[in-house]
Amino acid sequence: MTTASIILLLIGTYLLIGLMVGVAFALVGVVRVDPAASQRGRAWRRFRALLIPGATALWPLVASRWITATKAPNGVGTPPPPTRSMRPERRIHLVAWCVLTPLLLVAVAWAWNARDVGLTGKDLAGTDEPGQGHKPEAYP
Amino acid sequence: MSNSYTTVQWNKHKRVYDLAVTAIVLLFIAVYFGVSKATHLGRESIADEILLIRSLAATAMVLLHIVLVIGPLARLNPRFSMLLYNRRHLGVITFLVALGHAFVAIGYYGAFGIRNPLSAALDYPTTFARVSAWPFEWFGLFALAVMFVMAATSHDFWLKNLSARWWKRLHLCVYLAFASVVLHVAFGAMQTEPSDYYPLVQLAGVAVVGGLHIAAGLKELVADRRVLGGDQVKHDHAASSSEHWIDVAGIDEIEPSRAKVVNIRGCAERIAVFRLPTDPAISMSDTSTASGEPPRFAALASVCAHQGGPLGEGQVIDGCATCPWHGYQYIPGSGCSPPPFTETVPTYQIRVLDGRVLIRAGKPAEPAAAPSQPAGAPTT
Repeated sequence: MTTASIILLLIGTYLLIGLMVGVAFALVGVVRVDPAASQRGRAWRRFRALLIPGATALWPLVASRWITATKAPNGVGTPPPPTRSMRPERRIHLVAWCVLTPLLLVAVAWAWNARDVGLTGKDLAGTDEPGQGHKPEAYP
Repeated sequence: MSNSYTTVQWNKHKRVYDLAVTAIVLLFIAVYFGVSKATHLGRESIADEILLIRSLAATAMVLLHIVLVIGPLARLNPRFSMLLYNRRHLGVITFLVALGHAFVAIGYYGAFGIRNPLSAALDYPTTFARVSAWPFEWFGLFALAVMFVMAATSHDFWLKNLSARWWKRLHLCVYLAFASVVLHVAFGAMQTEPSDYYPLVQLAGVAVVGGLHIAAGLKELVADRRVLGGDQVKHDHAASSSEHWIDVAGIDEIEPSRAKVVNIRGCAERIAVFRLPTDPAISMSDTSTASGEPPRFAALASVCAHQGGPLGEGQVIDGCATCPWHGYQYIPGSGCSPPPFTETVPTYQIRVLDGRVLIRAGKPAEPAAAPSQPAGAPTT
């Protein structure tokens, strides 16, 4: 089994568990975590269905919040307190771009310089043939 | 956010916006496809599937750049704040176009064998000895995964239940997605394209997006460091000696229905000092001077409870302080959203003394929770 296959298997397993948790959360758990989601009507199925992808992606957090809500005295969860300051996020934003921008510029310039200048689009035409993979020049 | 949810908060304007964006996206894909086909003839002709892959990729890249520059543009110049409207829908459309690119690429390169197409497209002999042989697909897959999480959690349900802070932090991961997409292009398409067009455009894209974000971040840093609280302290002799009131502005320094945003030492966030119109029904003009009544002021935390938007850059509309990002509103005196909405922001004591507006330093007053009532649509 290759590394890629193992990584894909792990991702697939995570998403499969997440899908099961997500569907259960949309059907049952969501009203425990947030009573505001308990409304009925024509649109409630679509709203609940719209939650499934997010619950699938964040299923450990969703499961944790669901369990916490179930253990609460009144059986429902309370939303987190409102955010009163965004100063930390503003710092993260500035630091992230001060780091990312020069790194990306260098990476693109380096990748540009390291291109196989001897190979033209015509030479690489075979790389775009279906079923051949992308880079036959790298094959043994 | 309110005490109820809808599937998608569409209104007339958002429907028009989404339809227009969809039409432009389809037009862009068609033009890119058509021009590429017309300019690659004979021996240089390219398969339609590859042209479609490239068209979708180029569209997703352009959309991602647009999504990423809206935020800093709005921070640098409030005139661009209108672009923030419906940005989440633009992000979801970006993800869908990127998903289309991945779907066609994986199908074209991996679906003709007996193996799982995704595994076949990602799993091939590779080497790090040559840049052109790097497994660039993994960068694209990572970016797509991040965009999926962001699109999947773009609903207000997640914003409320993760809290604005953690929702924002989760969505800051779009920067990693952007970096990953740039590397995906640099080690992928750029390596098989002999012209210098791709690298130059990519360098320009990174420079523009990164430059705008750094400029906006520095502007915010300067604003955060401009703190009042030293020389501006005034003692109100009528009050207790322990009460410190900070002089924030002259009464004429603040435009009618607008706010001055100040930083006060010891406060967790900036404070928006709004000048209120005499008649709450009047939003864009102030009648206080004309009527001879003294202007009234209110001080609220300048962080909208919805997404942490800059409340102080908004204005008083219908008697409420209104966030410029999504139109969430707060009653100036209480900091509560008008019923049936339940959002709140802290308020600060304020008074006018000798023609100056003073704020009481210290802990803000947390507004009482608004009464729970049947929900309507948010004010977006």
